[in-house]
Amino acid sequence: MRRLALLALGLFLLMGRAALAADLVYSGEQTLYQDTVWQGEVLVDGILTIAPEVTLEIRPGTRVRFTRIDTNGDGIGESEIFIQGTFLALGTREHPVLFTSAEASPRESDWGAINMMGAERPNRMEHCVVEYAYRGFHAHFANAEVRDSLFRHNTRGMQFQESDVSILGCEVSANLNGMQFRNSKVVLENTRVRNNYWGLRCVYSELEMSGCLVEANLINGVSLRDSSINARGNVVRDNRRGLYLQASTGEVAGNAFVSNSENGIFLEVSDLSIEDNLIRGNGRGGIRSVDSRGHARGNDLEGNGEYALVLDGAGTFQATGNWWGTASAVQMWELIRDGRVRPGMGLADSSRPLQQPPILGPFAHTIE
Amino acid sequence: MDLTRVLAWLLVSALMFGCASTRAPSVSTQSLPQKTISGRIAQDSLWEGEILIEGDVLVPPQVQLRIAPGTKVRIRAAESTRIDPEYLSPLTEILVRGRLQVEGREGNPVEFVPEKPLEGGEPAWAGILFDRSKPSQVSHARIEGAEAGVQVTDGSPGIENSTIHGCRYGILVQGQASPSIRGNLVEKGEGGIFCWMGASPSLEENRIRDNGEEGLFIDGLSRPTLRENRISGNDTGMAAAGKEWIGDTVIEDNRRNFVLLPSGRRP
Repeated sequence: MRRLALLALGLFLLMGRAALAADLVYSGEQTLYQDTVWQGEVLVDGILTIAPEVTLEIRPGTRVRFTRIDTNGDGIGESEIFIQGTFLALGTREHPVLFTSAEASPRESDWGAINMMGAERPNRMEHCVVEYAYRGFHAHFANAEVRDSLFRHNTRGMQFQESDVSILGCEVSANLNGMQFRNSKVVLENTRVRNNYWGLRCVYSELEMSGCLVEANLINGVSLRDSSINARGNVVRDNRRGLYLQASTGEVAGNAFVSNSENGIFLEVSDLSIEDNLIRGNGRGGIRSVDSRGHARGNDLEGNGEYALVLDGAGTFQATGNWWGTASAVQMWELIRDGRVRPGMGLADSSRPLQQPPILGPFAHTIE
Repeated sequence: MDLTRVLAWLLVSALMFGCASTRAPSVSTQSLPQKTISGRIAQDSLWEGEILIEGDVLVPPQVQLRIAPGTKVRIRAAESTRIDPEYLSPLTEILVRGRLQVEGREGNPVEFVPEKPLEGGEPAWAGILFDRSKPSQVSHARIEGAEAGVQVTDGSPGIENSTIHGCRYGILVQGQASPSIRGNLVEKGEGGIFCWMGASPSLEENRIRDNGEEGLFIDGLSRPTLRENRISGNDTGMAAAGKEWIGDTVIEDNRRNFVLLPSGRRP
């Protein structure tokens, strides 16, 4: 009986070690002081720093796992890679690089982040999967390109501050919050942001986005505060608010803002050019403008819930040359709520309405 | 004094001290000092008396927070636009992923009000946000000045016999949420109760009145159950994707009593 018990104990310990077996193991606080290449299985069981002037290259098919360390019991994992040098995680479509939890039952925030500080040389992530982190990719004062990668099941998929970043062909989905940028320049192309709470949030940032799909985010699809946006050819659908601007400026042209539960476009103290967009089927309204300026021209504003356009606040909003879903002037005026309905509010100039829907698109993603 | 008397004196003194320390305090809750709170609540807790929330508060999944009758919770407005990854709003929020029991009583409610109202009637705080919360109950509360008085994005809390006053959204229910919302007064905000993105709350015996926009909004994907609600004095009484939602709801004296919304299918 004793021999059986000892045998069982030995097997148990062996299984435990096998679960954490890796080609490379970094425990505690360690620093890489020379260029390093990873391939195979890597276990990060602590905080691994990449020193300035040092490059960490991660090759296709590499799996990087992080143990769950939570010394202060706040539910936020502390294992991380902290990059002050250069970071090249270069998977392929067939053999992506995986960053994930080492736990048997993983959950978001199991590990801290791929954390980057002051890494000004071009850092690249290609064909990577990042999951179960607190912040999947977190950078300050960094230059980074993230391509063809998936960020999922993180508390926040990506977060950048004071950085220049290009995000191309990625998917950011099923995170609590998708992406946040502060004081950054962001190029977002052909990227899908979906099934998060906040999809994409910018504060004091410049955003260029094209060919993206932003859908089914529970709070806002695209949200800007004190920022600027240039958006073309995107589909923003099935979110609560589609595009939400606070004290921001920019241009949105050739996009589809459809079937968002609240508003397709919601402006607060902002200045936005809205041209040639499909803005349909939004629950509360197509465009809501609160104390904002700008113009809407050449848009298809048919079939929004309560109103096509709502103006709250002073001033005139130029909304000429749009299709309102009807050729009847009387019916069109019922789709606009402005100072005519609420004295004291501004007035919409909706002269020269289109007599039929404009031809818009094609869009990079299907509308239906 | 001989040893026996000394020991007896010590014994009596100890007994008196022990009794005094275990006697329930006789002071009223109003005289309890104000307690300042922010951050993650580490263990089961009871709030009573005067509470000042000076930053985001998180009730994590394994924790229960009870709030005693008559508690006054003041919320300080956030000074930055920051949102930490685990939170949902740039405004100060009470985020519930564990259990919240707001134990107000008729005549002795629990109050949640801004420390100072903001200019122009802007929301001063985010509200009470239930996100994948454990079974919770809000009873006899008064909630004022929030972005959403109560927001439920997942979970089934009970919200009953409470007053939600002057909030941008009185009660906001979305996604997988199926709360029980019964016997409340939702008034004088921008909007009353919103059901979005597949929500399925139970709405019973609520009064929704005098809101600047919609009293009750039901989008094309949501499936609430309604019984004996009253909606009056709003700009729009009910906005819904079908007239079948009216049921036995009394909708009267709104500028527009009913607006038909798109069905929820993409155009």
